[in-house]
Formats: sequence, structure tokens, C-alpha cells
Amino acid sequence: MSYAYLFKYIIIGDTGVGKSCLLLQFTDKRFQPVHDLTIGVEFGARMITIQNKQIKLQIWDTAGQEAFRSITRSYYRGAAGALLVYDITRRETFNHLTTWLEDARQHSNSSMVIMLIGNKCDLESRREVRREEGEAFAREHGLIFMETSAKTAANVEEAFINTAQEIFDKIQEGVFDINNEANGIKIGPQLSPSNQKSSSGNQALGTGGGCC
Amino acid sequence: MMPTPTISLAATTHSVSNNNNTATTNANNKNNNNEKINQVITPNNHLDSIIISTSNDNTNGFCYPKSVMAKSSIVSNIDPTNSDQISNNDHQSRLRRHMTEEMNEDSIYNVYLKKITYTCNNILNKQQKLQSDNFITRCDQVDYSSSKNLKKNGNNKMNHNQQQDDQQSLQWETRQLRQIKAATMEHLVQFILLQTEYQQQQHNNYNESKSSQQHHNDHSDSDEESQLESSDLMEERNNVAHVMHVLFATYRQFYYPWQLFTEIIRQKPFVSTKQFNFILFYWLNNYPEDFWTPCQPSMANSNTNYIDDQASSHNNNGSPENGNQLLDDQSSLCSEYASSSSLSSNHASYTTPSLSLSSTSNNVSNNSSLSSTSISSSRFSPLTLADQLISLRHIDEEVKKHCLHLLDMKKENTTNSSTLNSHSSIHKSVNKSSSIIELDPKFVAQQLTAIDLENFLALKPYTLLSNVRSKTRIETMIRNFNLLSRHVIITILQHSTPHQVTIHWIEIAHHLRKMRNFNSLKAIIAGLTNESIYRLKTTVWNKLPRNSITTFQNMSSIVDDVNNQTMLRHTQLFIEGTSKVSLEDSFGTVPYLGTFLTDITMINTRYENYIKTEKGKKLINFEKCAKQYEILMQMQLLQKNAIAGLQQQQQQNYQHQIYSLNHYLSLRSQSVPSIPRVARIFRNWFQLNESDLPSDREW
Repeated sequence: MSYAYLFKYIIIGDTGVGKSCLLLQFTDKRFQPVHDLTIGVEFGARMITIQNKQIKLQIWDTAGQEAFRSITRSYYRGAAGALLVYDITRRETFNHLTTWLEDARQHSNSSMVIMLIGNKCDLESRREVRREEGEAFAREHGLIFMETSAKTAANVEEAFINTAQEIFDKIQEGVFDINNEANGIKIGPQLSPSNQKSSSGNQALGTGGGCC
Repeated sequence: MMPTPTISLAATTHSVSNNNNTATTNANNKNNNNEKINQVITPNNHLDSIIISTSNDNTNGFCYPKSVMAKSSIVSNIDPTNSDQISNNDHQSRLRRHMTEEMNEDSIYNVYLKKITYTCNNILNKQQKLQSDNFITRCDQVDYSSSKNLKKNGNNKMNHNQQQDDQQSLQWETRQLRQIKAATMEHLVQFILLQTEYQQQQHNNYNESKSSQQHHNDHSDSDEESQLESSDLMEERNNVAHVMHVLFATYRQFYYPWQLFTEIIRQKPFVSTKQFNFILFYWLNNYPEDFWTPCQPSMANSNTNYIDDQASSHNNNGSPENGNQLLDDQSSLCSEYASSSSLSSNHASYTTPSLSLSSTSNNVSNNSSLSSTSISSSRFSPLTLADQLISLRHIDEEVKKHCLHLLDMKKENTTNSSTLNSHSSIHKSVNKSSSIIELDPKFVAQQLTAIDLENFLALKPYTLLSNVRSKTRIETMIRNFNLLSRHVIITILQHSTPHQVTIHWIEIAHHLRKMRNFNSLKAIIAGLTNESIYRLKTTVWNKLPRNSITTFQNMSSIVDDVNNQTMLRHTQLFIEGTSKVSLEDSFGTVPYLGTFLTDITMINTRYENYIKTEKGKKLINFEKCAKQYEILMQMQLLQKNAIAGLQQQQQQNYQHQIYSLNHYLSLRSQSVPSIPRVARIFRNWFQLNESDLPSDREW
């Protein structure tokens, strides 16, 4: 399928914060045949539309491999966006954010857009990390922030799409050099307007918000 | 909703039936359709609620039985052109369609219609055609063939010529496949013991049709008939075997071993002894460690009559509650006894000296008396499943003997390992203080592989399913992986000429690739690409010779994360996983565990553990178990291949730095080949004090 841009995303965060759940919630909607669940090039890919442009998101997730401390460089290399996930019901996952962030900043290009995600916001009764804390952390480190529930799908679309929107804006502003693939952005095979589908960009929401 | 694809199950079913044939991997996916069709044939056709009356007015070549359509709760009827995944999957969905779900009290079955096409250039020879043809007609309750004028059995036996004519005109058939989607443990156990109502009915029907057929057979057909029978039975066995494999590999997420054991024993009075023993043998051979776990708590203080009583009362009340206690806390459950060393402390309430029967226990002396005395000492409370098994009266002596045999082997191995460990010698050429750069790269690679292989072969694949990995081999392998990466970084940074150490490590990585040790290979690449090394442009990377750079790039690309680690998956499983071991370079493939762990994580996320029936009964989601098993089987395949490779080496007397070190597979029933002795320097690398371990998420 033709697309204007391809963005590479990565999802990082502690074990059990719901990374794989976020990914599957976002990409698995069409109930892809189960055999392709984990294998194949198209794993974790989905098309979205931003400002009438088809954008392909290719999301990398190594959930389950957190114990291998040495996430290889190639994982971070060329990521345009990163979802940094913690679990609002487990304080320690929030405490580890700094380490993850350092890792990400160290291995990736400086213009990578990082979205901080407080997941499992459906479990309000077990909340250990206040929403304000997440917001403060995001403000301090220049991240976008959102609380999601991968289980109920609340804000999941928005999390991925807002990140894409941010990347897209950066491209428009010229922050991203789209000709350098190390930035995690590929120009699609057919960028000419005539070939693009003219679907509306209503999926691209501007503001991040809490779900609860 | 898309149908579940055929491919995966096809491959599974097939390779299950060919356990010895290591070449049958998921690579079967790429087989042509004709072959696949012959592989995936489940024997059962559902009779009690579904009667297929074929209709000719189908469009895609599928027969949608109207009676079924009306009855079914879910009918998925997808227009293939709708799917935007126009690829293999679509092609697969043409071959098999999810038709309905059959909802029962204690189980849910997926019912598929499968199209079987006969083409002119079919590979099948005439004989095989005849067989499959016959098979269909013989299942006379299901009339697949009204459109083809094949008569029901027993009514009108066709002569040979007529049959051949029919074959030539036979373009395709549909066959009904029935697969467990979810079920209670009781139902699953009944299934593998051939004891479900449906199986019973099938069995009876089969016998009837066989007798009626025999009646009409002339002599020339009798040969065919016997072949037919065996292939038919084989298919049935394959289906049962698949469920059996999956069940034993994955049940620990839901039940303790004693619960499954109790359930199986409970069915004993109703099943054929042959199948019952077969199941027990399978369990003992493949998961002997289950039998060293504690038996049913209430059994500890009661005599063995308890189970007999329970079994006889089975017919009256459907499911006993004690075996059906559903456990949600899968993680703790699974790991708890996978690391069997913790058993004695966890079950301290019934601790006696003989309970310390655990693979990693050091109390060899305590164990030694157990197996010889356990039969005579049955008046004592049975403590482990093995004890219970041996003490049960109605179990065949052969099974008991086998269990005792395993106990003895276990004892031996424990003794061996303790003596071997106590004086592990140092390889002559290696000084304890040797710096890495003084060691021959190939030697280092061999040593790393020996360590990895030892861990990998002792790893129980099912422990992958557990979230808690303390004291498992997986934990050891992950720890070693991280230590090796750290070691790479440290040795480079500490050396006065870091680029030379880097060249050395690249050389080692190259040898690891040749030896197919993807675990250590990835660890080294991870170390080399760590920021602390990667940024050393002037002191390291610019000083490397071109060939080192090229090698490094090649090695990196193998373990790259690109496209969900496609390259690594492809290389370690399909290219190297099953190829013949070259004696010179390799001991067998050691895979990087991460991809398996990710796959399991995705499956665990994607599928629920339980499916609730309308009446609110919780059924084990067997579809999930089957998916998990697929991943576990990939690992098993690599393990088997590595063992085969080692055995081969042993046979050829390949003595280059190989010493006898048999303890690493302490519980394996087959004879274990040897792997190279590991020099202390390498052991030291991985046996650092806990204080030396990197703090959380740091080097």
C-alpha cells in the first residue's frame, strides 16, 4: 500500500507495563491471522492518516526481552518516535523512567519524539502514580504525556497518532531531515499528491488528554 | 473475523507425528498445498449435532451444510477479497474455513470445513487416492459426496472400475475438522484418553462400519482395507497426540502436576489400559520432574484407597472440585516447581527427609534410599507424585518400573554432578589470569558455546511460559548474556590498545557464528555496540582493518532487531536450526532466547487464559496453549538437534578438547553425549558474586 511517510516507533519500559498490549491494541484491530502474530515484516505495522497524508507506522517492540539489558543499538537506531511506558499502579516502573530515557537519548537521534505513557489507567483504584507526577516528569524532560488503558483501548489511538502528528510537524518545520533514514523516517514510494488517498485526517487529534 | 490460518496447525500436526524427523519444522509452511492437505487431516467428524448435507450451489467450491448454518452460533463467512492482506493468508483461508463453534457444557470446539482439491498433476499416486477416497466414503454417517454419486457404504459396493471413474471426476472434497478451542481440564484429559463422548461414538461407528464393510469386501480389496485402517488410526492418533503434546507442555499455567495426575488417575477405570499407560509413559519420559513434585495435599495423610474410591464415584458426579480448582496465579505456579530446589521449603508441612528429591538438591544421601524402598514402604504417606504413582495399586507394574528407573537415573545424575563439580579441572593451556587477548578466539568461542549449550540443553522449554524465572536456566542464560556483554565492554576499556581487543572480540563473534551460537554472538555484538564502545571512533573503530569492519557488520546484521528480528529468527531456526551439524565447527545451534520470549509475551497478551461459557464455567483456552506450544516446539527442535549433533560427535570419537561431562542433563532419560569441558576462567566470568552483578539496568 502506498504511503507518504514511514515512521519507525519503538516502545520501551519495564516488564509488565503493558507494552505488548498497547502494540496489539493499536495494530491488531483487524484481527490479523494469528500465525502472523509475531513473525513477519508486517508485524506491528499500521497505516494512519495525518493531514490527508497516508503514514505508515512501523512499531518495534521487544516486550519480553527486558531482562537482556543490552538492547542492541539497532533497536533504537533510526527511531522517529518512542513510547516510554510505565504502569500507574506500580511506582517502581515510574522510578525507572530516568534510566530508560537516558538509554533512549543516548542511542537515538536527538530529534526523536518521545511520548510518555502512563498505562493501565483503568485501574484507578490501584493507582500509585498520580497523573500530575507523570505530567511533571514529561514537562521536565520535554516529552508528550498521556495516560492510556491498553485494556479498554482508551487513548491508545491518540497516543500513537499524537506522536505521529508531532513527528509530522517537525518534518514540516524542517527539524527532521527526511532524506536521512537514520532519523527513522522514510519517504513513501509515491509521494505525489495524485496517488494519495484523500481520506480525512480526523484521526489526528491535537491534544493529549487523560482517559479517566 | 478472519479464520484461523491453516498453516501453523498443519505444521504442528505434522511435525508432532514425526518427532524423530528434525527436518520437519515450520518450514512446512512453504510446502505446496497438496502436501499440506495430506498432512492435516483430522479424523473426527462430528455427528451428534451436525449432519452435513452437501449443497451443490456453493460458489467458492465450499460446501456449506445448511443444517449446520442454521444451528451454529457463529458463522463466519468472509469474502476473501475484503481482506487487505492479499497474500498467503488469503490463499490459506480458501483451503480451510472456520465454519462454526460447537459449544458444549465443558468444551468448545472449532469446526472447520476444509477443501481438499485433487488436481491432475497431483503427486498422490493412485493407491493413495484410493485410500483417501475410501476413507471418506467409509465414514458413512457424513455424506460428503452426494454430488459425486458415491454410494453409502454397505448399501451398494461399487466395483473397482466404477471407483476409478469416480476418482477421475473427483475434483475436490470438503472435510470437516474439529479442534478443541477451549475445554475443562477434565475434558482435555478425557480427550487424550480417547474418552470423550464423541470419540466413543466415533469408535463405535467405526467398528460398525468396519464390520459391515468387511462383509462386502471381496478378497482383492482386503489389502487396501488394512492399509486404510492403519492410516485412519494414524490420523486419529495424530490429533490426540497433538492435544497431548500441548497439554503437557502448557498445563502448568493452570494446574499443579498433582491436579493433572489426579484427574488422569480418576479416569483410569473407564479407559483402555493401553492408552492410559501410553499417557503415563509419555509424561514420565518427557517431564519426569513433574513427578518429583508433591502429590495432592490431602493424599499425604490418607491411604491409596482414596483415589480408587474417587474414581469409582466418578460416573455419578461429573467433575470433582478438588481437581478443578482454577489457578489464576500462573507465574508463581509455573516457576515454583520448575526450580524444584524450592520445593522442600515451600511444602514444609509435609517434609520428611525423602522429600528433598529435587534435581538441584545437594542432599544426595537422603535421596538414595528412596527408590529402593518406596514400594515396600507404601504404608508411609506418599509424598511425591512418583511415590503416589508407585503406591497406587491399579497401575501397571511396567509403568512403576519405569518410574523407578527414572528415579534411579536421577539419583545417579545428582551424584555424578556433585562429584564432577567438586573437582572441575582447569584446562592446561589456560592460566587463570590470562587476558582475553592471549586466548585463541576459536577456543574462547568453543568455551562460550559449551557453557551456553549446557544451559540451553538443560532448559525446560515450558519455563518460558512463566513470568517468574528465578532459579531457572532461562535466568542463568540471561544473566550470562548480560555478563558477557559487560565483559566485552570491560576488556576493551581496560586494555591499553582497545582496538586490538575489539578485533579479537569480532574474531570470537565470527567463530560463534560458525558454531551457530547466536546467544553469545548477540551478547558480544550488544557489548560492542554499547554506547561506551560505539562512540570510541578514533581509539577503536577507525583503527580497525577493513575485514574486521566487514565481519562486524555482517555479524551485526544477523542479530539486528530490524523487522522484528526477522534475520535472526530466519537464520537460527530455518537456516541453521535444523541443518546437519558440521563436526568441525559446531556443537549445535544455541539460539538467542529473546525472540522466543517476545513471541510468548505477544501470545500471552493476545489470548485470554480462560474462556467463559454461557453458564459462567471457566474453560482453559486451549487455542492459546496450542500457540504457546508452537513456540516451545521450536525450541525443543533446536534442543533435539543439538543433542543429535553431540551424539554424532561422540560416535565419531571427536576428542578435540572434549571431556566427559554428563551432569548437565540431570534428568534426561536418553543417554547424554558430552560437551567440551569448560575452563575455570570462563566459569569465573559467569560466577561472579552478586555484588559484582550490574545494578538494575546498568552495566
